[in-house]
Amino acid sequence: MGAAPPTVLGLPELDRDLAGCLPKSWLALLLGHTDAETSLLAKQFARTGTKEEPVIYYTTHERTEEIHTTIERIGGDPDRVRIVNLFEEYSTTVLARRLEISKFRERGLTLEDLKADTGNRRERRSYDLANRVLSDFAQIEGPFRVVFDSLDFLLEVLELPEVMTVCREARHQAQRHGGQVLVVLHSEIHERRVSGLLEEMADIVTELTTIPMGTRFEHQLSIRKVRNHPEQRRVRLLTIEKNGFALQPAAGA
Amino acid sequence: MGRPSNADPSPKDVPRERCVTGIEGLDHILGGGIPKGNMVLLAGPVGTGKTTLSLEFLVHGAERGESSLFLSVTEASNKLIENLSSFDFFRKDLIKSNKLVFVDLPIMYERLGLDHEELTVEDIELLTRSVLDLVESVGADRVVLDSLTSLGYRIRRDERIRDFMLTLGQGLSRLGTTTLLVSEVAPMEGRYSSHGVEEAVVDGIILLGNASRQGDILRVLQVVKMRGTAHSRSQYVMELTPLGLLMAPHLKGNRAQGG
Repeated sequence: MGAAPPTVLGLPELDRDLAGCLPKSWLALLLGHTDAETSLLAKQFARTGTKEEPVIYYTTHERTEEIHTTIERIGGDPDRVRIVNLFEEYSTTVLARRLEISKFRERGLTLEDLKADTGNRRERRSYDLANRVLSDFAQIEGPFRVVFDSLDFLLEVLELPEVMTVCREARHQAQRHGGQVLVVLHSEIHERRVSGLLEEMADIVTELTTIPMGTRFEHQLSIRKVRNHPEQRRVRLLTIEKNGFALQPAAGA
Repeated sequence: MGRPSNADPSPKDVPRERCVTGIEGLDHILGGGIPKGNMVLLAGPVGTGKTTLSLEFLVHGAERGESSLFLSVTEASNKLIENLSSFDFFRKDLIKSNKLVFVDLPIMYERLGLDHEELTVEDIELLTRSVLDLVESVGADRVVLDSLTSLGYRIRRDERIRDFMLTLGQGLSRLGTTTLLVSEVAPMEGRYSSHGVEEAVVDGIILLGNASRQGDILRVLQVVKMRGTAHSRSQYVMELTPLGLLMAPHLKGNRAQGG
């Protein structure tokens, strides 16, 4: 097929570590505190997309241009990544409408407001975040990679079962077409139950932690779960290089 | 046409200023028009001419220099205006000069974010306030709401419909606006509204219906109630012509089918 081998979090060294332990298709959960630079790691995963395995990058907190620039900076080809800015879409539909409604409620309606589109009613765009993403999945017909950076916003505006449906469907499509899905979650801002449900569903669970060590920070990547391979649980140290995070050689390697 | 028969004997009030409907025969039945500020239920089954009568009422008002406002709940205004164009009494310049104003209520729902299938008490308050603000800003002397029944489907509860109508009625009366609320009733139902609470709140009821005569179905009109004026309670035959509505006394012995 010519597709790149599975790339966990865009860290080639980790792939070598986990060789033979990973199924062809998987859903990985990347946990981390908000200061842990999970977005950088998510982009490292996104830059591994190939012609045969297009990448959809759902962002909920960054500007599209920022993502574009960062992927380029860390050596990726941003044109191979389809960036879907969910927050921007949500803002220009749902939030914009809420603002408009508040304005009308507060100051009252004038005849001009009501006549503005009489006879030629402007079509209002309704926006359903879950359906928006699910409809993308429905169009997938081959191997793919998906990044959700992050699930926090979806959990803020959708009910938990809807978010779980989106994740399950992503995993299902990955298994069906051969794909990998990376889901970022800032676990400290949700109830334990939320990360618990996602951890249960995920094939791989990792956690990125930043610990202050005197005058520097130590970045740790905990491999907390590799489905059916409990022996792979470990904590690895990361360094920050020109192209993003890199795995430090394991002690004794 | 002669003097109104079966005149309501009760009212001996001080003569009230009238809102002349301009509809041939109806003003005569009402002794000069609808008492100004009244809120009137215009009830009848489908196809009996409720919308046409309402539109004619507004057009004649606009021609007299009164501001007239049509609030459409179900039908798009542009479609109504298109239908209205086939009548000789209609003049498009009345719309251009804002003497005759059409507003689609669904646009108001949308602007105000009234998305609930069943309007809440707060939604109803907001809607009532917005309608009254609009009537005031337009300076409407005449208002038609077509139809109260469709709006009622979203208000649903009897007590809320009653409260809505009371608040709306008080506000419109304060503004001196004469209002027709269109009410769709099923033929032979023997009532004037879908919830049964509407007729108790309004100042007047004009009932439209069908009557059969020698194999024909005739449109008929009857003023059942009108506060502030003596009026005939007889049934009149109503004809829809390109010139507008024309009325003639209905000969006794015919069988009414509606209302």
